[in-house]
Amino acid sequence: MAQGDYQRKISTKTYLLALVLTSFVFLIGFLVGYTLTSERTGYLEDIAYKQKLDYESLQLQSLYLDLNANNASCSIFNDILETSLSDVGNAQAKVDLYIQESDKENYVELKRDYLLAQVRYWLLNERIKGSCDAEHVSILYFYSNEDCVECGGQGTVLSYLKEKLKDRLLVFSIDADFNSEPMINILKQTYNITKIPSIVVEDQVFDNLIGKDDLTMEICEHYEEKPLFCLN
Amino acid sequence: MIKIIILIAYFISLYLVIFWLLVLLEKGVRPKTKKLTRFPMVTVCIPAYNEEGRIAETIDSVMALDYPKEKLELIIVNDGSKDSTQKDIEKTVKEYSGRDILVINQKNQGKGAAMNNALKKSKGEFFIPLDADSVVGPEALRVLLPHFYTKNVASVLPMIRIQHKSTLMRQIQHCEYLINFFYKRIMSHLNCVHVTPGPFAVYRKEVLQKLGGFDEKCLVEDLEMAIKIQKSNYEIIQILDTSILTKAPGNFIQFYKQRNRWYKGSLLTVFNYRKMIFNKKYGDFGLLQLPMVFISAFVSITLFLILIFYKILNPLIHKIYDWSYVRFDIAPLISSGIKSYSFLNINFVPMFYGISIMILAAAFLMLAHHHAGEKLRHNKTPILFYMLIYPVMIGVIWLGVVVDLIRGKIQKW
Repeated sequence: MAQGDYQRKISTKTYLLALVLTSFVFLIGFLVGYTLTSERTGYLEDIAYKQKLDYESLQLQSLYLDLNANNASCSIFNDILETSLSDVGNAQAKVDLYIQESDKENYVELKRDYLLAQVRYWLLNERIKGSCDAEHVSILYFYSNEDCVECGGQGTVLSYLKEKLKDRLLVFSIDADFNSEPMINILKQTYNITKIPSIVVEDQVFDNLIGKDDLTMEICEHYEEKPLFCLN
Repeated sequence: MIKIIILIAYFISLYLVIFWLLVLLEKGVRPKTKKLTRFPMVTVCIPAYNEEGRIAETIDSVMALDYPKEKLELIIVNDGSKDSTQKDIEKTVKEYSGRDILVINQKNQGKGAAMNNALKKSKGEFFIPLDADSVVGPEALRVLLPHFYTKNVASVLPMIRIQHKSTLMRQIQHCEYLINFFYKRIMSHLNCVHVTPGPFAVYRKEVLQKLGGFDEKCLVEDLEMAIKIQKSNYEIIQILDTSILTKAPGNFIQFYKQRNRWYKGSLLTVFNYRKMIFNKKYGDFGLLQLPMVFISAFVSITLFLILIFYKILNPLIHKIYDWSYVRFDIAPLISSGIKSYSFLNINFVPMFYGISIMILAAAFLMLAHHHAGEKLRHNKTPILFYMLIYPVMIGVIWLGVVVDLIRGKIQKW
């Protein structure tokens, strides 16, 4: 076949320069990621620190309430418990989101911290029931972020009810996959949790996804003084 | 896994944009062109199959070329058209008695065969196919011919623009053509042009003949020819100083059909020349340009599938499924979502990569407009749609090509 005499060459310099520049852009990308992760952990650590103080305060209050329970102090206790719990809940949701987006390792300790906080609040809540008349219903929610199609649905239902019932509903969310924390296994055994999602409404276990209407009925049964949402 | 694939697609895209911008910055190796002083014999060939109603305009434009009449030959090949193309040709040719026009009527054998037929009968030193749906400007030959500065230059290519920009689909293609031809212009710095398109690619006839003419069975004989030229170490030069107007598909279905043929043809043709890929002998062309068809298939399909399924459909289906459990009473969910939202929830990393590619793409777009002598502000809406919809469309087309190829294989068995 005919041949021209164009001198073919490989523009090695340009390839390398482009590689350097592209790597540089990617390096900046990694730096952005690194900064973001440290910002996120910093933010979450702040919350975790505040949690510890809140918990100490609540613990003291519960000791005091054991001695001398009255309506006013019970309601202060419940208020703080409710806000602390929802702070932890929000922070835990963020940790779950960040773990899905990037490396798990960065957040695993924080996550454990939050899960322990949930358990601590739940124990306090159980303990104080004897001293104070509870005006709220508490739910233990076992969820998972891996291979759990229905957890999204159950989580959505719970956020919905929480938004409707406000401080009359306390949701303690436990990541059932977090097996490295023995406390979680103990809780799972106590309530004989085998399926995820499962919810425990005042000691009654439901191991299927419960929709908005059914769960509302279950919750509303437990109130002595029914909130407006239950009356509709 | 998906994250790694996305990252690879990002890296490749970014690398290519940076690479071509760097090539653009390098000085060209070719000498400046001089004004045309010698007028060589030129043959324009219009292959036509069912082109009634539009071929007359094409013939008129060739006849109006600013070039000595006795040096310009026109060969029209009617490739067994079933409509009134033949009548149209006869009627138009009559108006140009005294001009050097040859009409060949042949049985339907395809575009490649039609052009080879004309090639055999042509008298020109240069051979120029012109699709019957395209129109050439009078200055074209005077601008294109001076670029044949050495015997090595086998082909010089004009820019192609869309003739009637009546629908949004055509306006998007207008942007696409601006960018593609600018890209081909940069590629031609490294002699890496891989396609010599049907409308008015000027060939040195001697080279065409030596290479055995056009492939008569190929879906994309223009791409096949360009690869053949490159394989034989000739040069192909893309210029932007003159434009051919062509008719573009007006809706997505026609666009899909056209591109499906192009892309499938490219994939198969490059596959036939796979021995050239990563072969040092062919320099940048073998290292970068030939694998490009596979790379662009990979990047388009990956980004398309990830965008559609991973980023849009999957989350949407999940959300709808989740919301069905609260009977779509989502107002409370939105208010609680807003309360717990923090700007740290935004994942800045993909955003950063996205923005850096966007910035480079915008620079490319601006340069493309500048080099084609167009104003960016005149194309605002099409550019927006080009950036938003075009990648999705190309993804759909590549996916269709891959599906077709797999199905074709199964049918053969």
